[in-house]
Amino acid sequence: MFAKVPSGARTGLKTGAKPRTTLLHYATFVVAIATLAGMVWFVASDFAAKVESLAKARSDNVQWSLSQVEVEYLVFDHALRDVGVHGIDALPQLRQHFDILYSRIDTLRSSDLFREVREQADFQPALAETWAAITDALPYIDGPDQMLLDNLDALITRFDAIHDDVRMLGLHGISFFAERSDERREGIAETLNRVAAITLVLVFILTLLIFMLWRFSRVLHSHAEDARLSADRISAVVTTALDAVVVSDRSGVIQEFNGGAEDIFGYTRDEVLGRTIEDVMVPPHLRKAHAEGFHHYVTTGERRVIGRGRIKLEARRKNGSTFPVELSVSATRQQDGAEIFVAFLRDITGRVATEQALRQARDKAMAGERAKAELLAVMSHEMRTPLNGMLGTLELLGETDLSARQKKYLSVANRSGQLLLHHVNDVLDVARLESGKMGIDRRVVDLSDLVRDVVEGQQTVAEAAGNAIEVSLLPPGKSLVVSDPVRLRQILLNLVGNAVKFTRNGMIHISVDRLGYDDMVEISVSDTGIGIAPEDIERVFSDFVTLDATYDRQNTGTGLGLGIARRMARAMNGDIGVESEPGEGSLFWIRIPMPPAPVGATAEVDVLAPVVPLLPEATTPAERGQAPLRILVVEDNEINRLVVREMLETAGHSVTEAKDGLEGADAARDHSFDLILMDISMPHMDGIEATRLIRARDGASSGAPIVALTAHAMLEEISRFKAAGMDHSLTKPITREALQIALNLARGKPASPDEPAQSAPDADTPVDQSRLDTMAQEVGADRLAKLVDAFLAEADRTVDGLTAAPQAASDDHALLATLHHLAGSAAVFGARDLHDWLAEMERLGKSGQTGQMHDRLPEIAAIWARTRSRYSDMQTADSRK
Amino acid sequence: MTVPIRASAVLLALGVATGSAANGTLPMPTDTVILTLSGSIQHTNVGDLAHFDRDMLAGLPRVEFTTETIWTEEATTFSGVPLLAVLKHVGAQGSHIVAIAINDYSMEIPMEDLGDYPIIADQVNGAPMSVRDKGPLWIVYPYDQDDSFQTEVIYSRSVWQLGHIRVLP
Repeated sequence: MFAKVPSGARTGLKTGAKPRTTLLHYATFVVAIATLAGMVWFVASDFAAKVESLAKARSDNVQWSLSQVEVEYLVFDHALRDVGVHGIDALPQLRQHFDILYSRIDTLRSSDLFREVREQADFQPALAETWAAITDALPYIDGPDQMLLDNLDALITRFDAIHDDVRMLGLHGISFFAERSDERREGIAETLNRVAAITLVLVFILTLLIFMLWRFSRVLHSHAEDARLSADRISAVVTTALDAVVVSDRSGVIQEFNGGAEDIFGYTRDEVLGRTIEDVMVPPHLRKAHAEGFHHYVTTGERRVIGRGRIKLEARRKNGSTFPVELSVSATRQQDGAEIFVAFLRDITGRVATEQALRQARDKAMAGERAKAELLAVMSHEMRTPLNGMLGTLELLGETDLSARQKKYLSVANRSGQLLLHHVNDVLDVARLESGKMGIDRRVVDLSDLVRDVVEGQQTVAEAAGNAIEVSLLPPGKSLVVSDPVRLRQILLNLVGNAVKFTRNGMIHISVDRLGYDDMVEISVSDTGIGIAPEDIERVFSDFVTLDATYDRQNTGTGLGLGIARRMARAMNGDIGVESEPGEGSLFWIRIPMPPAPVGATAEVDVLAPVVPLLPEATTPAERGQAPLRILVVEDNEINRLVVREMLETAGHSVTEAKDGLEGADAARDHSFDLILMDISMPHMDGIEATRLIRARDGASSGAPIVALTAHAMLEEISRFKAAGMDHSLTKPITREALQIALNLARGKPASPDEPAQSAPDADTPVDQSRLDTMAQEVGADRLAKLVDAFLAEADRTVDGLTAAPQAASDDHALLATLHHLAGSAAVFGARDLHDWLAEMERLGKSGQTGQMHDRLPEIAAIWARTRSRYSDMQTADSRK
Repeated sequence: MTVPIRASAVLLALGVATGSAANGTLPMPTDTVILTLSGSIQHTNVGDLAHFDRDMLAGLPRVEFTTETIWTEEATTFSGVPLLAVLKHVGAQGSHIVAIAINDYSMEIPMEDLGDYPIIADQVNGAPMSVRDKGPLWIVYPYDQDDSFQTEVIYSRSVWQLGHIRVLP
């Protein structure tokens, strides 16, 4: 019936099962008690009924009464005969005996006692006969004595006749009541049997109950024993715990304080028992919070500390010092149901100190990193500003009359300046890559062309060092990939440049392979150079590392190249690595995901990074046919201001200067300008704020185009400039070309950064020779020739497309895109006439005059034919040089 | 019912009272004698017997109640004198009495069982009883009043057609 109840201590984990067992016990017990009570009630009520029925006798001694009938009949009969002997003296006796008989029979007739007997078939006629005889005798008995005497014989005869009936009454009654008596005895016997049976059941149930109680008692005993053992164990645990264990009641009064607590707090157990936690352990400044928290829990039951795991707080020692503790508190209930709190506390002074030291060290390291980054940013800005001034001044100097020797010196100074700018840009690249601000482009690139271009660029240097360069490229037709050509070129240039630098009379091999996974392309650059020592191999990608064991120490660099390469490779989701053997050579590889280009895509024209002229251009007088402009230059740097002013005034424009944003904004309010050139970083009021002010005020120049001059234009900054109301931004150093963009803007022309300077002296020709010269100086004649070839091919295709099927180009949007694309290329390569015409077409298209645009499309054939022949002439001339 | 104790107490009290009032002898009956007491009695009127006619009996303190009985069909009103009062009236001093009916039925009743009840009824439903109606005297109990009056012993002591009471010492 009862499962063995698991003991409390052993079933700490099974507490869920225990209430169920207990419940089962209770239920069984209740059912047993109820059954028992029901039985007892049943037996008792049965008994009571029986006792009741026995206590109330329903009958007199009827048998005696019945037998007395015949006796009294015979007495009366005897008295009748007596009268015959004694005469009238016997009459009173006769009358009395008659009355007795009468009374007896009357009782039989009327008493409830004899009702059942009367209903007997034989009894009824006998009684009726007897009663008839009695009633017949009444007149004589009650009549005068003489009449009675006269009829005596008749009465005797009459009563003799009923003797058998009278006897019948007695006999019947006896047999009837004998049966009744038997039935009743049997009934009682049955009841007694039932009582015996129920008693048996009761005894059984009682035995069962005794057994249950015995089991309960054993279980309870076992529980008590387990509880005692458990308490002993817990007590041992608490006593020996190294952590402080403090037990308090609901009002915070300390009830237990173990040895660990004594060690940590400095109190002895006896000192603190009966005092409150608040009083003993909580530092004064936390007491209010402690009391509030305690009150909050006691009133709402909401737990903020209790049962919430580890919590860090401050505690107070006996000597008043406070120290950090980690504690966990749980609430439980004692036997009497009172809630108690058990707190485990640990002194974490050491740990906190360590953590703090670590945090300080980390903060210091991070501060160092930040300082480095800031230094880089400041350097790049602060160095570029004077550099810009210097390069601009050199450009101006180049426009003056110089001797051949002076020109040579100027060229050297310019090259050095450019190199310095290159280094500064390197640093800026690092800063940008570090800050994640360098965007990665995704364009269709011909990987083979790109590699060949890089190799070509290095060919001269390589040959000078006696090196041969070999390439193995992707199979033809598989070389188109999607990637960022500018970054890729920069990485490759660095790797190939390094290989060339560190190899003499050796072999440089560049290999491009598509790996079989994740669109990964591996480009490796191996050389037979000096190699890298094993101890250095890990740091070649670190910043500012130059392993300058180069021949004749002629290689200069910032030591940032490989660092930048690695950042870029990783920014493109790839990686870079190196294997090397000192004296044998090195192998650098990059692995970068480059998905194959979609079918039918063509490599986009490889637009170079913003062009910075190496040599100053020829002096350019004010543009022919262009009205001079009034220009406000807002710039805090005096040299820069001077350079810009010189450039603009040389071109015939009038210039007003302002030294900061506030001055500039005021000038713009008071005077009308065609163009405002606005430096960004200035004292008092920066360019952005000044622009807002100009736009907000209803000044004389509030609608003038404003162009930002910035040292480091990052993408999100440009959007900030735009938001402030600026129309365009130009990156320093400011060149004549850059200024031209701004001037175009002022004249209401598109300010595409690709827009070339206009109106060279040979403006009659369809091609701007000076533009090509500039490019030749920048990229080399060979490369320019290749680029021009690419441009001519592209333009041929486009022009063919436009002229062959002009109706097919009915999609204005696609047509405009085509025109715009060609216009960009035309600008880069100085195809002046073509560009002008294309710009005009674009203008028509965008202003909704598409009909006119379509009508004029055929004109392109003639323009292109003229332009193309001019390029052909120039190429022929170049090849003859 | 605690008849025995109360009976003894009443017995004692009446014994003292009637002893002095009756002063040895009873008046002579003037009418037909309906009850004769004999045996251990102090107050007599005919030899060592005490004879009562209807009037003498009626002169004692009376009690009346209505009860159902097992011998009658309906509830019946009995009126008469408590048996104990009659016994005290004759200065009965004994342990038992024997009530004897004129049909020669007799039943012994312990003196200590006597109290307020039974009574010696001489009237039923306001009329004297004839022998045919179980008269002239009937020892009756108020059977309805208590279960203890519904036992065979009580029924056997309910002697009707009572004519003689002998007091046993």
